[in-house]
Amino acid sequence: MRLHQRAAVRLAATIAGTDRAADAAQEGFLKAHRALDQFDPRRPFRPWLLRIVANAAKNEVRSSTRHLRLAARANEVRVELTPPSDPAVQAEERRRLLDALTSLSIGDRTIISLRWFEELSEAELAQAMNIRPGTVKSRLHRAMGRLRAALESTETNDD
Amino acid sequence: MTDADELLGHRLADLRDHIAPTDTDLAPAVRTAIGRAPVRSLRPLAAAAAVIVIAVMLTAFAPARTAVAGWLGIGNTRVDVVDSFPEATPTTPPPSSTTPGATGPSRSALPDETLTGPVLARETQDLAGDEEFLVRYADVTFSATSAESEITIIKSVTDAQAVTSAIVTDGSPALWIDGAHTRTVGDITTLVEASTLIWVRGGYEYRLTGDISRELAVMIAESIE
Repeated sequence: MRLHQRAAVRLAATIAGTDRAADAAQEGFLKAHRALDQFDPRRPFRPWLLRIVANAAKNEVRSSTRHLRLAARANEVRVELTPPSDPAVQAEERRRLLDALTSLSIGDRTIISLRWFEELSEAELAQAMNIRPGTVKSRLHRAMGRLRAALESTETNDD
Repeated sequence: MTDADELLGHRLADLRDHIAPTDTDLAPAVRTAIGRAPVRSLRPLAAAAAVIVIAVMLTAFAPARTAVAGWLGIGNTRVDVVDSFPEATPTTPPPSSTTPGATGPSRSALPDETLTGPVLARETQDLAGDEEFLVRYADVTFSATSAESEITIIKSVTDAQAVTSAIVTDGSPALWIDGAHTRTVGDITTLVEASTLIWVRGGYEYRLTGDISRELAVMIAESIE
């Protein structure tokens, strides 16, 4: 479990925000344990687990927004960065990139996070996201396009 | 992947190591939770599920969908295309102005029950962008879920009485659960006292639930475009 903990928490943070990440990851692990008999050992474990964690994180967003009866959008999450130990300009760039990422939909955040944070292959992405392998590239490309647009938007606003 | 994607990807890869990790080791908490996880009684949950289904039906809102013809054993049933539904239970639905596959403002009425069309259809979309639509007939309930993220939130857990088999409908992978089984959506587990065919096509997860045979379910599945 510890082997996957960091990835699970990071993915959960990207989807549900830092403050809900640990709970979501824990719930994901618990659900994965309960569903172990459904895991197909012929397939890789990591995408299967991350899919469950992603669902748990998504449910966490849902339940909290419903509970609070807010019209809040699900993508309003806050993801914390480690304290900067490098030049401030890099830290600022990361913050901007992360803000752009968290402004995207949950779906876009998930596929980008799985690809670039967890380094899943296209086949693993298809398994983790329950989409056809043939659509992975286009989905990822569209998500990256939206991230680029969001990033440019934040940079324009800052100018 | 384009160069622009690649470049942005490298920036994301750099970001990865700077997302604050949790200091908490989750293992002890998960172990504790596993140790005390109760076995749920399904009876109250089944009742709760029925209430949920009814509540959702009352907020019915249907999307455009394609026709299903020749549902053997269910009569001349078809899935009609409707954009909106009356909020009340459709006991006296207005006459249908629906043409399967049609679009436009006229698609706002329930099909007349004499057409043996669906008695209810709905579409919901939640805050996270997930869409679900459902078409209900006297004998079967047809539903499909599409998460905006294309991550399905529905999973099925079969119990000892149900026979599960992986099959293929129209080239799509499918799962047939024969007989009563439990279904878990989020944290709610319900008892489904019917068989279910689940298949995935075009980013949607489709479910067909009813007291019908596997062969009929597959035929219905294959007739849906």
